[in-house]
Amino acid sequence: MQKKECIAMLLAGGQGSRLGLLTRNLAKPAVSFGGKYRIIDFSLSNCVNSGIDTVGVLIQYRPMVLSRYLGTGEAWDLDAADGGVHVLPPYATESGGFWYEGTADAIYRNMRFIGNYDPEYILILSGDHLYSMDYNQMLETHKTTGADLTVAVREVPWAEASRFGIMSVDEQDRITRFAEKPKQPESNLASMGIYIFTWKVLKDALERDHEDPNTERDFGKNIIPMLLGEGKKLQAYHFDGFWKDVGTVDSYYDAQMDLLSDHPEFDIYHSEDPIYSNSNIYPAHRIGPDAEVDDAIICNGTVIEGTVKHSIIGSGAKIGKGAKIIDSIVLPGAVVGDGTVIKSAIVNENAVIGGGLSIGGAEGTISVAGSDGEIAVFER
Amino acid sequence: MRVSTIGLISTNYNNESFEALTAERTLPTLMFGGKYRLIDFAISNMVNAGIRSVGVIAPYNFRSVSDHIGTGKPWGLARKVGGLFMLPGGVYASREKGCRFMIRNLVANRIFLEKEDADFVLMSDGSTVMNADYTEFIDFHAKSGTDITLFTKKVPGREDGTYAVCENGRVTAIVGPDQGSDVRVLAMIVNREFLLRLIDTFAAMDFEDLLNVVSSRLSAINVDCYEYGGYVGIIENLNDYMACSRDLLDADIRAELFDSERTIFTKPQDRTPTIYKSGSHVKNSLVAAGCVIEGTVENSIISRNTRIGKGAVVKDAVLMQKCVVEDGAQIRNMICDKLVRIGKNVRLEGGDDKPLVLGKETRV
Repeated sequence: MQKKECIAMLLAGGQGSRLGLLTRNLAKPAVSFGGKYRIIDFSLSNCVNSGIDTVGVLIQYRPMVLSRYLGTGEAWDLDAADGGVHVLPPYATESGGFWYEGTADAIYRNMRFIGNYDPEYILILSGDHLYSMDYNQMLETHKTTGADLTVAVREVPWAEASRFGIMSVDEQDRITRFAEKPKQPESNLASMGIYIFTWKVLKDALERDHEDPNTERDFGKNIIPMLLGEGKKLQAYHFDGFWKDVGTVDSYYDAQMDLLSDHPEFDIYHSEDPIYSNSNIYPAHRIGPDAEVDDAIICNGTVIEGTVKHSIIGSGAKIGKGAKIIDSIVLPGAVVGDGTVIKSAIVNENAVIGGGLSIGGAEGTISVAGSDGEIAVFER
Repeated sequence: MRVSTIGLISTNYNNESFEALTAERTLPTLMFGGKYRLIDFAISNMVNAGIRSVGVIAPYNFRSVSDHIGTGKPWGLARKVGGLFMLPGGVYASREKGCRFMIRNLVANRIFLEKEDADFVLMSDGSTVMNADYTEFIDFHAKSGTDITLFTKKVPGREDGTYAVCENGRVTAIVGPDQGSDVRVLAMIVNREFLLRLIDTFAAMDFEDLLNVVSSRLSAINVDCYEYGGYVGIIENLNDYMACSRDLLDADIRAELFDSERTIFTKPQDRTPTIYKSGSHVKNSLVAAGCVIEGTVENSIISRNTRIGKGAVVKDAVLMQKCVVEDGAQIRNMICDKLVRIGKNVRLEGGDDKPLVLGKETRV
């Protein structure tokens, strides 16, 4: 196998439990976003647009939708003869089967996969973040500073700093301290969960971490503090573009509704680098003779016979006659029956909502609607 | 009995009725329905019937065909066994309308027909719009044991194409328009070995069309007729193109073509979804991805990455990809090829009897 300078390992096994029924049957990286994408599209597209052609995708929680979606990687031009997308689930060995116990453990258990490519560097990513980033620039920084580990960081509001892994840096952006979710943060530089390791250094650290019974096998909690404690060179890489981890229904809703604004923070429309996705081939969408569409994002394959205002309608969704969709997100494949009114709500993927219902709209709430009348209401 | 069928699609024919639209492309690669090319239907129909080996007889200028279908990947035809074969067509394209196969193009590609070991060859043109269940057609042919079965549809009142005179399911004559039949030939299935013998026998008549040869030997060749019941869009001129585009606005026809279990595949493009700004007003239209709509659109087909400005009005029009209709412009009864730009407040209108066509990259 051809030696690669840098390959990516994409952590995509998380549940995203705070997204409620949206992640009941699929992992968070597979959750729909912006009408036609799944969240993992953004990090996969970043890889391709940065020239990284080998990506191991670590799956664990409810992997069916995700692995089917990834397929051969063709949709991202990642069906490479030498490299490409590789889905890496937990597996059994002669000494038994193991789940991935933590982020570091997931990489540890795939060291043979990584070793095949004999990389100099390894890029560790989360499959559930929204951002557009050129990893090459980060890799350049990693190389020029001669770091063992480079961590992408961004400034977050001080009030939120205690939710993140917080870095303190010196004048050369060398990381001097690291605290995972500190109660009293001494900096507001947060880790974005994007790491470039010099592979030898990481390999050695993972092996030692594996021998230690008292670790959570986690990059933030164990590997980074270990390397810092040993005096390894840890460098911060500043990224000030849009970046978001949509962990809650609130932030998931807001991040998408922002796509409707005149100047969205996450500007997927004017990106120089395309965002690839594995969408089915749907026909152009139909706006029926009695439909009204105002201030909306509409995807291929949808049929709109009713009214859509300030909303996003995902691929292949159907909005019946006289139905009203207001301030809402209808995920791909959902069917909203005739006359149904949906306000400030998210209709789950492939949900079928009967005719004549009224869903959502109570002040200060977002409703999430599934099939068979299932509705969960989230206070904002 | 396990039957195997290979496909053969002709794109090597001329049609000058499309003005600028076919100046740089053959009719089968004309854009249609906002995101498709006409040939998508022919290839998808074959693939959806389980055909895994499809030859496309290319026109002399095959750039647009090759660009669009490539290795056949979108249709699942980039394969180890079988797959998509781009076959060379002659410099002289056929002027026949209907299911068109010049003998010389078949002779030149005899190897394809020899080497794909199949019972039948399903042959069609590359520009008819339909979502046909060829599985049923193939079964029909296999059961009948005949040499050739024509896939037909009754289409009254046309002045072009090839028609079959059928009696009790048997074809007794193959004729031109206004010659006693409105049963139009859209495709055919031929026993492969019979086809090989046929082209060997008639190899010398190389500019002749296969159906004309068959027509002259109907006493010796068994030809059956299969009548198709579904929607068919025949596109031989600009008015056909407009009429067929308008048909797509009919919810039932759109659903038959595109909401079927049989997907019509096309080359995928990664476009963002379409944005409708506040104040946009869209009725009875099909809109593809990547558009930004700020104005009014009625009874129109809008292809991907098109921009309709504020106060602009687009009615009864087909806009191909990346067109821009600037603020305040008004257009009606038009077909705009890709990258056409209609300037601010410009008003343009085609006739109700014939649309106005603007060629690629026209700016007005």
